[in-house]
Amino acid sequence: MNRIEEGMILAEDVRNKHGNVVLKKGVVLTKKYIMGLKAWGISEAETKDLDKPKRVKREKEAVSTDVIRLVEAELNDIFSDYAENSVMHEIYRVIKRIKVREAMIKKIRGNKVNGQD
Amino acid sequence: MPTLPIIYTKLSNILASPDVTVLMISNIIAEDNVIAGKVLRLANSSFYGFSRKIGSLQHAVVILGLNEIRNLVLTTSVIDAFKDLKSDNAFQIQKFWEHSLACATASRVLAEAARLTNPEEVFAGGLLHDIGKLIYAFFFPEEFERIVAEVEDHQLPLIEAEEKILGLSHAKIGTELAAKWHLPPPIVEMIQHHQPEDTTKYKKEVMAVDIGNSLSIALGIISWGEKQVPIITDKTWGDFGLKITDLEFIITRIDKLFREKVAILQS
Repeated sequence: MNRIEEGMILAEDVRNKHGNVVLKKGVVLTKKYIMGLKAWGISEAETKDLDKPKRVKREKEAVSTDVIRLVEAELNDIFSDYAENSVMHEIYRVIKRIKVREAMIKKIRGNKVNGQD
Repeated sequence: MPTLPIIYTKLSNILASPDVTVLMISNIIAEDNVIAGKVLRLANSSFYGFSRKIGSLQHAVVILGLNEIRNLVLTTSVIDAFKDLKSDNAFQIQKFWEHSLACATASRVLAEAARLTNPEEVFAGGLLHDIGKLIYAFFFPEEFERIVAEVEDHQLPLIEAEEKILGLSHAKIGTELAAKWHLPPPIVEMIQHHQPEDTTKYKKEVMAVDIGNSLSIALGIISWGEKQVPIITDKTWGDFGLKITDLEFIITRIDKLFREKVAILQS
């Protein structure tokens, strides 16, 4: 049993004292899950560590789907369907990356201001 | 028609002389406090990467070089020429300048990437490419409002709206102004066509502005009438002399420089 930490993967189902499964095996422990487990009085579990780059990537993915969708919506407003054109596709890809990054930075700063960090 | 502040003409004239000295240039710049301040700020900005502070105008002139100085003076002069004019639509005017600055930055980055000999001139061309719009915004405010309404509410293409309501396009108006201000021929061409034609002498410069304009719109920095990113074909990109793999670096750089420049010019 290890102390639970962000980024770890559950190696087994976590059960509460009644034997009910609270979290399933294979789940990546985000902040939210850890808070939930602590509310159940659970502070240790069978886990394995994600190596750091994967863990960081997972956390980013967890936060950004809505951001990505918003950026895509804005871009699709001004980009037509350029069919076979590789230049336009590459421009779209690069600008999407830049905009998502900007939006994420804003979001993280916003969270800090609201004391959610 | 607005006049270009005299400092630009003075500067252009002495720069054309083979006997020009750094002192002569700094003296002319020193006559305008605002421009002198911007010259110093630019010389000290991160673009130039000097670790020691540049305190004198003469030193700044040496660091920036003659072309960069002329470019900066032109930029500031143009904005200055319009600054006392009043418009009921300050919002659109602000967006106009942002788009023009973005296009200027983008065109210059592209010119440098394609190894053109005159990136500072391309910057000026990018800055002025839509100047015709500003002319009618200030001097024909009623028509301006109607044009904006046509493009925003009725989705009419900008050139059609301009020709319908004013009788001519912003490119035509801009070309007239450029002639009046005796701007260099490459700049006139960059304003005249956003796309090169067979008769175009400065093809690559015109392409740089055309592509720069598209990239600015793609980055969301737009002024009225720009609803879609104008296409840059694979052929155009190839003719311009760049590879698709260059795009990542170029666009990232444009974005970065634009933000820095906005800060300096708004000071």
